[in-house]
Amino acid sequence: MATPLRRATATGVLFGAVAIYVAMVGLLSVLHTRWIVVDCISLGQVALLAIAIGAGLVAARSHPGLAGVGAAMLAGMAAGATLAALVVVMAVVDLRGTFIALSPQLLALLTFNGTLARGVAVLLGAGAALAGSAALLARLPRLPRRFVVAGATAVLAAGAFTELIQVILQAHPQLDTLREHFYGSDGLTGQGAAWAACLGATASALGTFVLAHMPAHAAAPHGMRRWAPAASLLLLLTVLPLIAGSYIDHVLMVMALYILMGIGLNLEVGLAGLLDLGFVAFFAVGAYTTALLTGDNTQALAALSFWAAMPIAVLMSVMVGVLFGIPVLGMRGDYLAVATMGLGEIVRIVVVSDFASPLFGGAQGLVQVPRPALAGRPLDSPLQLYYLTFVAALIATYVAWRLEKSRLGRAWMAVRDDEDVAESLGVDLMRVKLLAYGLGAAFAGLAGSLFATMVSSVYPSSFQLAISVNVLALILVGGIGSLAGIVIGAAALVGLPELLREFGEYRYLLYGTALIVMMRLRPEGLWPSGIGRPGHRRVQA
Amino acid sequence: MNAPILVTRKLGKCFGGLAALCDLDLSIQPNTVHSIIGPNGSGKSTLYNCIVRCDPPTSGEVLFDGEPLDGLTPDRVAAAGISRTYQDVRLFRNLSAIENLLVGMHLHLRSHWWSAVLNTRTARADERRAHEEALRLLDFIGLVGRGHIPARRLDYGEQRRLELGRSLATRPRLLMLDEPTAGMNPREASRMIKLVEAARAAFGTTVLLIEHRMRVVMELSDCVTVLDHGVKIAEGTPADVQSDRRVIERYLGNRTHRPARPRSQHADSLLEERC
Amino acid sequence: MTLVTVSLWGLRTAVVAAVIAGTTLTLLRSRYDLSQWFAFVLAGITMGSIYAQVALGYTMVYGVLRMINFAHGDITMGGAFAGYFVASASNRAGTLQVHPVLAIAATLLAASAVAVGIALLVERIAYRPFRHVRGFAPLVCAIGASLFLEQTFRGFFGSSVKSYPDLEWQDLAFHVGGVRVAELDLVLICCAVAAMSVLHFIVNKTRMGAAMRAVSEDADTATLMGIDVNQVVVLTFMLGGAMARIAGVFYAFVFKQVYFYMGISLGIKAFAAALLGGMGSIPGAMLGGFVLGLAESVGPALFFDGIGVRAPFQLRDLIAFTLLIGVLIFRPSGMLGERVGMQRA
Repeated sequence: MATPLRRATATGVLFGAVAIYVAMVGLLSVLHTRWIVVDCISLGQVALLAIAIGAGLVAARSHPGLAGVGAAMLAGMAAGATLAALVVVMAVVDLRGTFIALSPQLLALLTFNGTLARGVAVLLGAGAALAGSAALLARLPRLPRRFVVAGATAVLAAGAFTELIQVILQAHPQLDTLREHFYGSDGLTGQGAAWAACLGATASALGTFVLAHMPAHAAAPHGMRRWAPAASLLLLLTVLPLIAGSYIDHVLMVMALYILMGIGLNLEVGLAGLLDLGFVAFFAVGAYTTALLTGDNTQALAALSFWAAMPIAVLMSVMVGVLFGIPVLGMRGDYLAVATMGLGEIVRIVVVSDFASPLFGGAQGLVQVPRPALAGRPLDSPLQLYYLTFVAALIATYVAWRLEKSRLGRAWMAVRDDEDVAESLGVDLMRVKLLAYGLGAAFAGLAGSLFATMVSSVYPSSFQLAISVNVLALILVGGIGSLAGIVIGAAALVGLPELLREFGEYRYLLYGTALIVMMRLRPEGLWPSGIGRPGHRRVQA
Repeated sequence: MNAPILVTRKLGKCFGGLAALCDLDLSIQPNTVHSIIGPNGSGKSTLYNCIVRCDPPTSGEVLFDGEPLDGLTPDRVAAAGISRTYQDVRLFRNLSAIENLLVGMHLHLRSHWWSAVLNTRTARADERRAHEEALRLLDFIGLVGRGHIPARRLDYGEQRRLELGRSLATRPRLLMLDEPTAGMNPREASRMIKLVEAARAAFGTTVLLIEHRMRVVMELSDCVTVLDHGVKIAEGTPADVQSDRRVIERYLGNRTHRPARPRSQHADSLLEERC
Repeated sequence: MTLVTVSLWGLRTAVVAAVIAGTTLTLLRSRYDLSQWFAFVLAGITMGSIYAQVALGYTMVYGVLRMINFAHGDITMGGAFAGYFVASASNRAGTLQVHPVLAIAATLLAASAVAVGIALLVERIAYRPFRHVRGFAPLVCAIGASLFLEQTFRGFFGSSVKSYPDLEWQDLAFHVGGVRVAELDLVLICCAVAAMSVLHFIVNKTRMGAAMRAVSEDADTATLMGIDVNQVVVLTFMLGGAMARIAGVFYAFVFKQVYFYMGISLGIKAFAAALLGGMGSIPGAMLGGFVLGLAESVGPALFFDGIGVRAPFQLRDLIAFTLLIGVLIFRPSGMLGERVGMQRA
């Protein structure tokens, strides 16, 4: 076989392998439970579509013109064939004893509820067709391509986020009528899909039109262009909870908490370059201190108000941070990561043990943590708690931003880039690293304090290593060193799994994949702070 | 003659069985340019590492202004007034040019991190002063208007000059340069030489210089030390050293072809004895 | 850095004091009799041999790649899972009872194939692109790979705990001085020692071993000498994976269970063992493994109980982590290894 053909086939087989993996790990079945367009196409089927399209696009990339379409079709067919292989095996052998996901329902999904032969044929044919059309689409002129993509995205979003959108619309009677055009009792209807597609295409057209006429307004100050995305994000975060339902508020509340932690960890990882896997320890210290000082339980040490306990919790976290930091901050890279991980685990083991249970409540944890009270009234609803956390995150953002621009911030970045050289320029490494560690711990402690009062109780199982990895993942995916990036990361890695509930089981799979993919393709994250991008830091002339 | 600014006494550095430096005695006069030359592997960069204490010596001592540098960490050495550049340019690649300079000023900025957070007037004034000084330094090294460019985007000559500027930002009394003109074409090298001379004049620093280009050495130096295999084999004015027989044999080379000399075996055994 | 030195000294003294106090008190109180101690010691050595084998994998990869293979524990688990399926199948088919040796050999083979396969895949995707990259990208990728593997196993096989089938002779034991010594434990220990010897031989006496040592010293020069670094790395991973598979299978036989979260805890402890003995040193990994196993087994009874800790065995993991951090702080080169971690306070 000629090399280009071989390459196209290889691409197809690779994508097919991905499809097999997704099926075997159970993700496909789970995705299938969510309809995009009710009774028509499910998220699972969309995933299969995406794989075929992906195969086609990648295969067509190296061949311009119609040859590309041919390559795409070949790749698509190869992908379909690979998946068909799995189908055939499934039909012949019952592997469910080993691979629990390979159920009859999955088989039905993959053969499109038909016979085996028909299913295989559909896989092959649809694979080729989809891949080919994707390649064709990629070759269309820009404008129509944009419309199609926008329309498809809109349909996907409308279908995937059915609950979210419906909840928002339902909260406002005027918009309720609008809702009925789109959604039936189960989800997005065919009619709704059509509407969504049109909406998406129109929005895209409008956007293109506006941007094309932008040069007339190019006089807009440079600063505006820089601030605009951040400002609009801020606006969205402030206003969204008001119009969304309480479920969304809850999700946003959790997101805000992670954003707060992300800002703290970002000081350590993004600015100072210290990989801290024991971050959850500081979170735990903040939470337990708050519980012990405000709680209405047998272990409580005092009955302070939340506002009094919170600064103490932050202080405790900082102290623990310094205590942990002194021995370990002399190490580098991998070893620092492992040492901090060990420290985090030690904290967890101690708080869950019977030995320390007179103080920490052992595996039962501490309960009855009261909500903070503002002007006599307790802050009870997710909305109020969200705003509380949001304000804390804003303060943290401000502090982090000012630190970044200061002498200390520059010292951190120097240490991150080349600590030996930084030292030879007079930077006291230990002091600077301890400051990063301590300040990061402060933010984590604050987050822990808020967490304790949010869930009204503190259990050791909430403080696993996984949380440190979570926060690390969202910084790295969103964008190292960038505050907007942290929000994006939190939205993608925390918000999304919460919204798409079925995903919950697979969120760690998502994190692991995201980490690998990001590190290989885009180590600076999705929306980095532009460290090193020209024009980002302006000289005060 | 004034008291020397830097003195090394019987400085030795052994890596396992290999002696990189052996019984080195140096005496650098203030406000001069003192060059260290010698073939590759003669211990020049090791000497720098020993002085700055990022790789402390195994024997002997270093005195700066009469005070021993024993037991100091590199950041304390910098605070004492010694700064160095590197053979392979080691800038902070992700920071802009002016930020590199500002890091250099770390020792001389007074604001604490909490005043930066609270944005107090003193903090703001401090930052303003720092930026002004950085701009002046940027001008001095010839990078006017390029302060915001990330260091990794600068061309090689600019990077070298930036590294020099960064070291100057620490306001050193002793500036140690490690092959500042390496890899440069003659025009850039000349520019660098002029910059070094100007730095010495403007900032009143003493300059210690490792160089391979004889032209640079002869032009700039007030005194030259020649190292070979970690041992000092000659010292004196550029003219003296240039005509020293041993230096010509070991390093500068001569025109006639001669077989390898047994003398080098003698020198090796000397090394083994001392270290 | 006097603050640092002082506090480190304080830490050292405090820990040593606690251990000594606890030990003395326990021994004075004579809470446990000799046979119990012996049982503890034996359990420690058995567990230690498992740790040692997994630690061998870590040490080898570190030696060649200068990088901690975070996913190693999960690869071990992968081997254990594969072994489980083969063992169950042979149990159902009856071969396990009739031809136990054959069945176990098949189990080991399956486990080995799977573990090695996963190891190679991980190396290709998550480690090779970062061969020359500084910074924490390689480490993060390793963490990602570890997460990915765990969750994949969870997805494939479910989150329930699976039990290896019982072997008839598993319960065979003999008695030494009133203490029950399971034959299986002895087999385990012997296998671990054998594995180390084989590995030691390969690394020190064969050409491939020499290549491995060359790459670990200076990869670039090794390339110049004509050594195919990729090949060496692949081989290292294969050997490491092989160690892991044996360990995984044995772990499963001893503890009779396999579940997807196994990888992490085993991984961290084995890593601590490798570090304790000296990263990059094969005898060190063995030594570290046994020391850790013993410390974990004997420790809670020895000093936690002594200083009055309730339910001391809960804090068993604490020992491993404290040892890990202690080694990193006080003696990063471990007991037998080279200076790593470049600690400067």
